[in-house]
Amino acid sequence: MSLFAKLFSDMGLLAVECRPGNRFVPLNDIPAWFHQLCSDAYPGEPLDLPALFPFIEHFLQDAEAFWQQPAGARLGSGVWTELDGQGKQHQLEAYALLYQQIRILLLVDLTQTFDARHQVYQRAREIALAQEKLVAALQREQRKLQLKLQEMLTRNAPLSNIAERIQHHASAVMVCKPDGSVELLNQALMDIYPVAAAGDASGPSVLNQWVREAETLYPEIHRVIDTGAWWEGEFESTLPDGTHKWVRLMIGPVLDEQQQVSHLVCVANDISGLREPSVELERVTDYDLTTQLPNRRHFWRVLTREIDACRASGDKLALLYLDVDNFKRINDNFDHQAGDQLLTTLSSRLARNVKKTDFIAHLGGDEFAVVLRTDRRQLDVNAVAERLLGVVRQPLTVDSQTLHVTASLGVACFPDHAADAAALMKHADLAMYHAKQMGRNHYQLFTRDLDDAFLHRVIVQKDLGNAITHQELRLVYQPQICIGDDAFLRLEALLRWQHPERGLISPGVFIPVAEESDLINQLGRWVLEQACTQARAFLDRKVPVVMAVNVSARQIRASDFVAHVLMVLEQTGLPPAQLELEITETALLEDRETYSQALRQLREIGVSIALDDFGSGFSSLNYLKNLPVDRLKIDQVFIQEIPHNEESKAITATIVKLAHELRMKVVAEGVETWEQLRFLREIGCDYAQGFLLFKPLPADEIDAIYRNLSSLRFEP
Amino acid sequence: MVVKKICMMGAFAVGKTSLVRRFVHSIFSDTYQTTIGVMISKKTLAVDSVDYQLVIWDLEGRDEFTDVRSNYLRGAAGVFFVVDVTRPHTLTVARQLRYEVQKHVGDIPALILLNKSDLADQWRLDGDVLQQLEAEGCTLIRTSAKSGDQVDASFIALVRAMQNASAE
Repeated sequence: MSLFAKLFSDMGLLAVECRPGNRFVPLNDIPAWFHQLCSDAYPGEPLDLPALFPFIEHFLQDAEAFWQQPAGARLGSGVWTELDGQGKQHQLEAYALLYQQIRILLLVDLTQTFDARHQVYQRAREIALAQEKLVAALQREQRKLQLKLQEMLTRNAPLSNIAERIQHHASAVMVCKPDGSVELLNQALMDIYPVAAAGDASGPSVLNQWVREAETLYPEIHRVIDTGAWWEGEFESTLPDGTHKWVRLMIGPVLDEQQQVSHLVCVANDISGLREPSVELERVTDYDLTTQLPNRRHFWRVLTREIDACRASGDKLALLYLDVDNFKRINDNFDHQAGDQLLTTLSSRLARNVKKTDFIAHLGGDEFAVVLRTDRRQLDVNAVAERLLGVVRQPLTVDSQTLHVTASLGVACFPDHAADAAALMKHADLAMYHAKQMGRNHYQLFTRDLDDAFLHRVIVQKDLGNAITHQELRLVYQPQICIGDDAFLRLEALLRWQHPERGLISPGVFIPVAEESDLINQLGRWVLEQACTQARAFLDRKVPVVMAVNVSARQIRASDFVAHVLMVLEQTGLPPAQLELEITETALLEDRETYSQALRQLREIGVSIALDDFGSGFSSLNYLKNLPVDRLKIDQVFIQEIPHNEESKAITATIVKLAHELRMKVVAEGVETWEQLRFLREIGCDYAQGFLLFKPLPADEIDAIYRNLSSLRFEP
Repeated sequence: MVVKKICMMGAFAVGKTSLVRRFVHSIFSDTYQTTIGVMISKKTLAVDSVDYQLVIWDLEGRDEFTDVRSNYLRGAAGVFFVVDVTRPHTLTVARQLRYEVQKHVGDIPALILLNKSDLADQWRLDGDVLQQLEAEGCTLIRTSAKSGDQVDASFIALVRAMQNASAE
């Protein structure tokens, strides 16, 4: 759990394990926000969460059910609010998780991100409240008018008087008989529905249409009207041109002396403007609150619409997807507001550098997107991409500090690179990812190659994670044969991956993928354990070998690297002198101080260290004497150029001479011809490795090589 | 000390949080601040010589953005359905919520608070509907979080209703 504990702490979460008896033991350092809510919480000591938070006490019942029978990856509690000792509100959320049968509660403080969410809901509800009040006012007006007309009809006022009263009224008014035949109507009604003049029953009955449309929401409308009761409601009505409007309708009966319905007074208003999202509501739901640019939801709508338009017109469209480089680091080094300030400044610069007809959106976090509309003209996407990266690069000031920010940008075009919005976005993102891989501060146009390469990497990464447990990995061993004074058999352990569907996958393919993630540590540990176990097995069979194992820079960086090597040696019983660790020259140069310290510790107990791919990574040999290294492995690019390239021969000879002066041994790898071997012997190289001598072999073939080592003659 | 969970429910902007703030902290603000999720407050109250600790769950108002999480109701000993007397629709929402509470936690003591009753000139509730509710056995109390009118009395009334329900 230590890795998770660090992750939780970095994310400001509190993870607690729920142990029997409702004991809640923190799994990571207690975050500052929790201390504000509960000052007497101590690392490692159980917390009485149910007593602290009644909400959690309540949620635990749901969590228990989830832990017993998990449905999904986690169970969320919903947001709740707590007040700290200073009276400050904290918005919290809890999640129940089950990890390796450990019952975990994750507590998250949402306060920082809560403001934005709160603002959206606040404005949305204020707008809804205002609309509700408008509808209420309209209702009062409708009732007032209806009561007046009812009163006039009841006292048998001349219809002409009533007609005069309603003729120019803003509400649509109709007075009809219970059978729907129209007695009176006004202009506002005729403006909406194709009703003929009063008294003409040839046209469709508006009353029937209303009742039919309303009854899906108000099934009781027939009964209410038939029984002479008053009715009002809101429903969607279809106009003759096929468009739809929301109508607020009020129907009031007029009773005659026999208490029978003589007329129906209908007052209707178009309330579509109140029913549809208002401009302001769109403003809060469609725009990013920090940058005031259109948000992701808005972006998708526009992108989809633009693609549809391009599809119809044959125009082209380019999507530029921009991601600020190292934004998290900037955000971590400054506070939340500073990060917002930076995004706002960048937004403003980007928005100023696209045309009015183009569309720019803030997709969230550090991601921006620009949709370039082409209008059939030739679109110079490169120029736009360079311009946008240029404006991001300009120094900016945050918290009185000047920052130099860069971004990476990917471009994909419709219809050349994708047929729909989702694929276009995916390809622009892929191109952006490639731009990041190229060292950031770049832009990259999408190509099909990127897609194939990425897809392959994704598959490799996904399957590699399971390769160990599925026993798809194995080690082979390539002998390093002594061509000098030593007489040891040395082996380099090499990893092979037999994919069940894709066959043998080259380490050149999967090792770089593993190195991009923590998988390399997992693989490296597995290789070390297997190689040491095998070396011990050889030793037990009286085949003493020195086993060389490759380790990556990322492995050595792990805080427990040395401890793990020691543990493996102890568990396998392999004498340290039988183990050699190979690290590449470029990796060692990455962080010489740190790596040297770890490697020195291992050398002190007898493990030897080899510097792999030596010769191509630096220009000066001066520092070599200070490195904790026993052996140099000459980069095979030099060996492969022997005997034809004089420079490579000279470099190889120099390396051997220098290494011997520094009391190091030299291994030449990639030996494939007799000429190469002869030359290496002549210059006094100690060991040779390559297909000329032995290809990598399974363990059971090594014993025979060892037994016959003294009789083997490596000559043409 | 008897601990009782009470839920405040109703449409958005009817004054649920204001009623709680008035009852717990004796304060009122005219500014509408929407609640998201749940806010839990506690207050001790002595009713008929019994000390109660009321754990008040102020639930986010019902609207098109939010639905009530029925599991929030679990363990509730009583419910207030809060209505804004100036907005007839909030009475409809309260009736819907009453039905949902009955469905999820059964017939627990409940009071309908006709809040913002200080705005008498803007009263828009349908008298017939109120009469019908009373006929159905609902207790209606006119409250004003702004003036504090009937706020404490409502909580006491709900506690008494809970006492009676326990006795039965």
